[in-house]
Amino acid sequence: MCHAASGAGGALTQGKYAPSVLNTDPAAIYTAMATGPQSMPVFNDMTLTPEEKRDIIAFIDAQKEGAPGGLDLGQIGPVGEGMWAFIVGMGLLIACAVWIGAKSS
Amino acid sequence: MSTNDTPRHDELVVTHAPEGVVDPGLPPHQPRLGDTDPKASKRSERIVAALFGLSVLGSIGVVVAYFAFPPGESVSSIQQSNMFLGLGLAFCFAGIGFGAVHWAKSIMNDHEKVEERHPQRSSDEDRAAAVEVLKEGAADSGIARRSALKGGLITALALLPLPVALPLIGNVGADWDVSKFRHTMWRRGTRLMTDPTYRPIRAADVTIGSVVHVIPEGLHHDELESDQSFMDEKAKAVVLLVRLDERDLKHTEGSYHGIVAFSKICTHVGCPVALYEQQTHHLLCPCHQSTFDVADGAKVVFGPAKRALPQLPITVDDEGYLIATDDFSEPIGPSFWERVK
Repeated sequence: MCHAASGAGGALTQGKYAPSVLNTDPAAIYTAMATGPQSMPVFNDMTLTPEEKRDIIAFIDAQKEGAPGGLDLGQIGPVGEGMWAFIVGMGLLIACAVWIGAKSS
Repeated sequence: MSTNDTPRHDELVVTHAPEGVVDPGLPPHQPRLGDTDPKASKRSERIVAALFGLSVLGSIGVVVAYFAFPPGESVSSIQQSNMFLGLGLAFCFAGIGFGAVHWAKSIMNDHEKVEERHPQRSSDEDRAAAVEVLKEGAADSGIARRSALKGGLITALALLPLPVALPLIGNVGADWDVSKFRHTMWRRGTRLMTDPTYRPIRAADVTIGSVVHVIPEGLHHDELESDQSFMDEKAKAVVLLVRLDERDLKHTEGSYHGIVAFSKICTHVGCPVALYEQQTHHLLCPCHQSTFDVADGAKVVFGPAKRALPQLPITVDDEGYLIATDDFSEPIGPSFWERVK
């Protein structure tokens, strides 16, 4: 959850953040889960069996391909990404409207 | 405010127009570059032609991309297909649009035309005639006289919202028993199970700094009547289990050797709170950044939540597995209207 559903990372409290794990070495991910560096809690073999840890690493590996929909913001979700698409799209439409309405020089 | 010492700024003195604002009229006509310079006019023509040409290229590009880059099976081939189709479509539409607008703006004449705005008000005769028609209709219907018809019409209108409102309210659900919001599946002796792997949790296996996502024993598809009741119960009963150093805990009530369990449902609007920082013992809700201090009874330390997360009191059974000693002491999740403290 901290690293977002796609592993792209996310914010924590007071300026701390969970880094992206998309370019992290699988062994390092395994070690991090077992030891809990910095803010990260520990996921020992009772919480996540070695098999489950391997599944998580395989899932992260599958995320590296990216999204078929095109550019994303760490796949934070349709609302956040849609808002930026809306802001940029609206900006372009307003710019077009201003250009159409302006007198030619 | 002005005295003899201060210099007088004439440009700051506001003179009011004597009779409102005078219509300034249209600004003077400015000839465009293309109107005086035939070279510029030719250039505009070339730009428009180029934009239309771009549109042609875009259309051809879409056709080529359709065959050259099929979506295929892999993510990268879908990305490629989407990108080239999208770029082609953008050029073929934008080329026509920009070309047409540039044509109208720079090549067509730029003479200003004025269309006067007409008053919206109808003439007095028309207004009087309309009132007359309405009066005539009212008199003809005899609504003042026929009280039975009037009563019937009013009753019919009053009942009209019912057939719309009834299905709307009825479809919300047949179950209006709000008392179930007060309790969850947790009982005295319910074992804590890992979510979603459904394994019992031995207290000794929970190392310091661990978090475990927890559901109650019995919250399993095999033991519940329907998937719906599974979702309903899970939505209330989910718990986050954390072990911290016992010395860091401010209250040990309901905890077991530093192991504490709190409802995972945020008291703000009910998101699952599960971003735990093991060094600060802060628990962060990803939706609106409500932050709870796990070491201090999950009290709110930041954000819009108003109450601490309800704590699940826990202990261990004879075999060393974690069990609940009771249900949550208060309803979980966002405060609702009949909450009694």
